[in-house]
Amino acid sequence: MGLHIENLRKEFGKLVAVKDLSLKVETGEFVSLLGPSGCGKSTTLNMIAGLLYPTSGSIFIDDVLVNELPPRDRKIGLVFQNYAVFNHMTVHDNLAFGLKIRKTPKNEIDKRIKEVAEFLRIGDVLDKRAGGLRLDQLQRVAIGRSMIVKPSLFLLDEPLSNLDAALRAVMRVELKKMQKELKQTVVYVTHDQLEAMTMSERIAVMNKGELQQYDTPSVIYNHPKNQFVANFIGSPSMNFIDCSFAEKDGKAFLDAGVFSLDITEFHEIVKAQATSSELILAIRPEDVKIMNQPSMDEAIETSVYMVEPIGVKTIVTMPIGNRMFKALAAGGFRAAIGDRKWIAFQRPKVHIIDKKTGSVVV
Amino acid sequence: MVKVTLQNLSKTFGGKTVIRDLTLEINEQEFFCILGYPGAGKTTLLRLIAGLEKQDKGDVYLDNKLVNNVHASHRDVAMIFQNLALYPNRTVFENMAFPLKVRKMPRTELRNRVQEVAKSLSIEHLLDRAIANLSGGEKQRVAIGRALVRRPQVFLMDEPLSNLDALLRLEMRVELKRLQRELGQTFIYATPDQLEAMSMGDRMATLSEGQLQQVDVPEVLYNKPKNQFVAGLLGSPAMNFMEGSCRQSDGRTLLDVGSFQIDITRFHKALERATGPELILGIRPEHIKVTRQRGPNSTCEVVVYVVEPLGGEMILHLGVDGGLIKAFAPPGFEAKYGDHVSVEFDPNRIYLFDKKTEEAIL
Ligand SMILES: Nc1ncnc2c1ncn2[C@@H]1O[C@H](COP(=O)(O)OP(=O)(O)OP(=O)(O)O)[C@@H](O)[C@H]1O
Ligand SMILES: Nc1ncnc2c1ncn2[C@@H]1O[C@H](COP(=O)(O)OP(=O)(O)OP(=O)(O)O)[C@@H](O)[C@H]1O
Ligand SMILES: [Mg+2]
Ligand SMILES: [Mg+2]
Repeated sequence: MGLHIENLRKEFGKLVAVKDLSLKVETGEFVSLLGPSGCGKSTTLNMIAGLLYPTSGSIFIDDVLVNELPPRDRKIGLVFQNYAVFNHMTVHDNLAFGLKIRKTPKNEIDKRIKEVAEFLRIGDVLDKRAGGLRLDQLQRVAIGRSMIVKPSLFLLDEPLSNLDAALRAVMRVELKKMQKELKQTVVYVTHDQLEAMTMSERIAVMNKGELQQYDTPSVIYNHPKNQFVANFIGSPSMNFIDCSFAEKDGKAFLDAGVFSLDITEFHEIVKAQATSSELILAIRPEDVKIMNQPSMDEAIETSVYMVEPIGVKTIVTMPIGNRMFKALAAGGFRAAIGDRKWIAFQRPKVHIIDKKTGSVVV
Repeated sequence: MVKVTLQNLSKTFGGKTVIRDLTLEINEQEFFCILGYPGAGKTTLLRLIAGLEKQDKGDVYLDNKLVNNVHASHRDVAMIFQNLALYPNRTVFENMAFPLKVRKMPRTELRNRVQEVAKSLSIEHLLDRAIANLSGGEKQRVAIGRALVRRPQVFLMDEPLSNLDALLRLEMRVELKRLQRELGQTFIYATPDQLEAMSMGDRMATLSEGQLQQVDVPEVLYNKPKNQFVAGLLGSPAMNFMEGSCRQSDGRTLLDVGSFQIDITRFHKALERATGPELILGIRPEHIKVTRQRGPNSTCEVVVYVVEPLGGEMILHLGVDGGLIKAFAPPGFEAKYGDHVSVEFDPNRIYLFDKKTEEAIL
């Protein structure tokens, strides 16, 4: 069923590029490998494709152990950042190439080209040489070439990174539509969280060769497992404030110096799970409320450092202690630099992180 | 602190018009953004202001002084180039000191000036490092620093943040804007990123094929775009457009979009401006309400194509008349591919454009 990776490891000399990675991708599922540059995404994908041999571990595609199989026998389709399209050949011949190698009958080839071309909207350029196409058309041809052989598993490595923002948005939707309609199993490599969040059923967040969290976009966003995931996902990023755990009169507090937050409701969890009294309060900009008056008990005083209107939203930056803090306000929000404001957190959205281990405790 | 005036500026390269009869006044102390797609002519425009390129026609004034014949080195304008143009084998200090050395500034003053600017950009600790050993973000700050040390009257910035990763870009956006406020100087900032332009600009201009489309404060461009180009350029996700044609029925004027009609009788005065019955209906995603059931104010029924969870919110791609529109899902809304739902367009937030001229009618 789909793809199954067990304890996959890749060493380049002393460097461990992929560290004992285990992952299951169901048939018809769209999974993204997401992480910063150099975290081992491409290395993982290349091992699945058979372009790199693992140092240890196993890879199953449709329940078949493929470790020893060459790429062409793995029933995979591959699309890279620098699309492998033959510039001197026509779009039609590019699409036909994979099928011809597999000795597919001519009428079947023609039928599939018609389907794929219609799907990817490249029907009108079939007779053109690939070398003369626009970037987005080229990328469609590259995708078409891979999907035409009806692979069990579609592997894409940053396929949209050469396109400008507007085209990327269009291609994102088209790729997703195609995957849904064909119920194609996809592993998609990207360092762009927007791409991963919008296209995937599940996201595998990687850092330094290690899997950090593997779950649906909504769980990854709302319940990050550790500080790395919390910081990497979401734009603007989550706010973090160093605090220490304090107990007084049977109550528990997060003491940030400039303010202190009652966390008695999490007293037990924090006591049981935190490895020390050093904690980090974490909250997303959209879960911070800005007020003109200290109208709530827990309001924290600050002043406006910068206001950035971005249409439907406004990003407001304000200092808290010695750190900058971001809040997302409504599109119409206006304030002058230096204006006095108070902020409050949406309590259910506050996360507490163990500073030593980086794990999210609440 | 200088006003920049451009009058009927034109520039061609080998028969191709790159800047077309462009007239623009940029106020002193203003943060002015120029937004346009790649190839729109942004870099060329900045180079004309800097005197690095000579216009075929028109005039450039700095503080009401005609500078057409003033050499670049005497214009008191500093430019940060898109490709940074740093000396890779020299140190950060040498790179930043270079413009001052050329101007024969005394040693100690030069040293102090560089240190001061380096401090404001948090690159003090890098002063002795060679450029080649810096990360992309650090290089970008050095390039900004090299322009700052000169304390010119006008700063021209050509996509200065484009090499930075997303997190750093967000941070630098705020810092640059603060810097401009503190220096009280005129900044002219070219970017293809609508978020940057909207969030940083006191005023902004949209440029397309060398022609100015609209010049105003970002809010006005966002809320009252002059034409379909500007409407589509600002906002993310972008404004939805649907083709329709006007027809009369029982004394009412209806815009027929195919699967639904909108009563636009109340706009009859504005509609006189249209050159024909063919119009484009525009509506931003945030002004569409998505509901499970059809209600009395529903505009039409649609099919869910793609669900894009963006973390805090969810964008729905909805099929209407063979095209797709985007809308934000209400909080807690569950939807999947193929679901039938209803949408309600906020009647006060619709836009109408003339299909032929693409000019806004309302
Ligand atoms: N052939 C190789 N020899 C030595 N080191 C390698 C080799 N290939 C990759 N690496 C190293 O392994 C690590 C992971 O690289 P990989 O290409 O998988 O990163 P990535 O996550 O795809 O990054 P990016 O987003 O920049 O493409 C990096 O530190 C890289 O320098
Ligand atoms: N020196 C030159 N000779 C010939 N053509 C040029 C020259 N400089 C620019 N052009 C052309 O002028 C047009 C506008 O270029 P310009 O660099 O000003 O665009 P831009 O808006 O800065 O684009 P980008 O976002 O890609 O930087 C382009 O079509 C470009 O090819
Ligand atoms: Mg890679
Ligand atoms: Mg340019």
